[in-house]
Amino acid sequence: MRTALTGFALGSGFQVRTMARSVDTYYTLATIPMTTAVLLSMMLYSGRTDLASYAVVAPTLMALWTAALVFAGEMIADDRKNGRLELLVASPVSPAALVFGRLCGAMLVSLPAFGLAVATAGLVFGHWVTVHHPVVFVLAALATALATAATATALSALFIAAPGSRIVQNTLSMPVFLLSGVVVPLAFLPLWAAAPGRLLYLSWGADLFRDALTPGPVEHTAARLAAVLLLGALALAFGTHTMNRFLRRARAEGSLSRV
Amino acid sequence: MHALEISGLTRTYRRRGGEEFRALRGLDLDVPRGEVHGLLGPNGAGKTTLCKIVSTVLLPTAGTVRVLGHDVVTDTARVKGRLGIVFGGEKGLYDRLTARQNLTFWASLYGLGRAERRRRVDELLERVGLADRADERAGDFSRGMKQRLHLARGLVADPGVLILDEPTVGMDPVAARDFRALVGELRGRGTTILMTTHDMAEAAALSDRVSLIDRGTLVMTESPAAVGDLVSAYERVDARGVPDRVRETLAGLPGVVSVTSPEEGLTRVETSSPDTTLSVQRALVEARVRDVARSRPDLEEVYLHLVGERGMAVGE
Repeated sequence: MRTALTGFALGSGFQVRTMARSVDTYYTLATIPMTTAVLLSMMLYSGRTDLASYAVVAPTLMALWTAALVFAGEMIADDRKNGRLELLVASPVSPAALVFGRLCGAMLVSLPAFGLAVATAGLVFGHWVTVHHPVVFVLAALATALATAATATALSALFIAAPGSRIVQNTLSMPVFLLSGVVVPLAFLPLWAAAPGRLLYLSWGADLFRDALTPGPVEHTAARLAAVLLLGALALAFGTHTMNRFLRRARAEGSLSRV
Repeated sequence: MHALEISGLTRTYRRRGGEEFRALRGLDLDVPRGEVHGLLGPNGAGKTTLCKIVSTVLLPTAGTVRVLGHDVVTDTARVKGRLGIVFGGEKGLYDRLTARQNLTFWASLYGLGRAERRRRVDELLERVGLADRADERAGDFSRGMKQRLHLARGLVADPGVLILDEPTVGMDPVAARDFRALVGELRGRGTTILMTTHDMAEAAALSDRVSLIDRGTLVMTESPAAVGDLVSAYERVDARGVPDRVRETLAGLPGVVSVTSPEEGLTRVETSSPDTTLSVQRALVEARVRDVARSRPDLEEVYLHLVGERGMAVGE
């Protein structure tokens, strides 16, 4: 447990420090104004001003997921290529906790996406978004960021086992955005598509985000936050187990340093 | 209890196409606490495989390895906290972080508290000569500086056992000299060191004992001096201005292994025993050859004799 906590604290601090000084970090953020502009144009010019806040929430969640997916793959590939993966695995810290911590750090750097989306909507379209339930909003942001990092930890285990599997990064985004109702809420989708979407933490997080921006009361906040965190915890448990298994297999095959 | 207890260690890799390659074949080796142990062998001999198994990043196919009494397979967590690892080359650092940040990160991984971490990092930066460059990015360092930082990284947790895999490859002569002094200091503090190297002089100068390894098996383990003694068969006499007829006489003496000319005007006679060496010297004096020198083989020659003609060629 101590090695897990050390790994988490160390990983998150380390990632924030390294990412803050890297230009690559800001690529995802740089796309936010464009994504917001495209989505908001579609909503406004189709006469659905009531859905304008959706166009602000979507780029934020898309940025979180994209950053997590990219960093989950890049960090393992980069550590492997630069001869650090073996040294990290040989250290006393839990590898899964370190990866989870680093992904949480990546999430912190990605959260300003919301500010960029709000600014784009206000400055370009004159549509200023109001956060009607700030506490719900902050809790939803934190829970969703944690669950995103946890889910990406499970994916990074895959990158240890199969270095070539980084193609997953390029193919996983759109299906997840669709199934989790990030752009189009699950309530608008047919049942066969909405039902599996409820198994994704992102669908619960997206709904909470949107509700926090609407004036009406937010119902079952605690239960919905718990759903986000529970699904994240399950993903983290699965990721930790899978990573330990894959690491053992890589040690058996001698493939830890294989690029 | 030894610092390292290696018994029947075997490691097999499966190549593409299913073909198996045995990198280690039932290797046995004990390294007492506080010993600097040099591991010599050609490329592909199994040195790095051995280091990786001891470091817990590779599992053995058969056999056991215990580090300070803890098994590397069943008691991995205890082994990890007691080991320092420096794999060769300049890789293993975070180029975007400064030297100080790199060391601080690795010190944190090994559980050092804030005050201890700061003290240890400052001490190591000073020790490896990087104190003045501590706040520069590691990515901007020369290869030699990166290797020094790499060495400091391996020492950051003050490990009981230190694994050095080709630690001086690419180091400039000054850094290599400092490295040797540092190994001497670590020996004085009781750190056990397992060091692989191609540099025979380095192994002879630094090691308490040397193991020669070839094709995954241990050829021998001795002190550098004892290795020379064991192969006194390869004692030699060098002489200049030796007439051809005397060379023929020398070649016919019992116990003379070979008579060669490594360079123009120089005759080298290899003998199989000290008595034969005396006979050769006597024959040369009687032939009025004045420029005669007797010498013992250095570790490199011993190594080449033991490994055979394959020398430094890559193992199969």
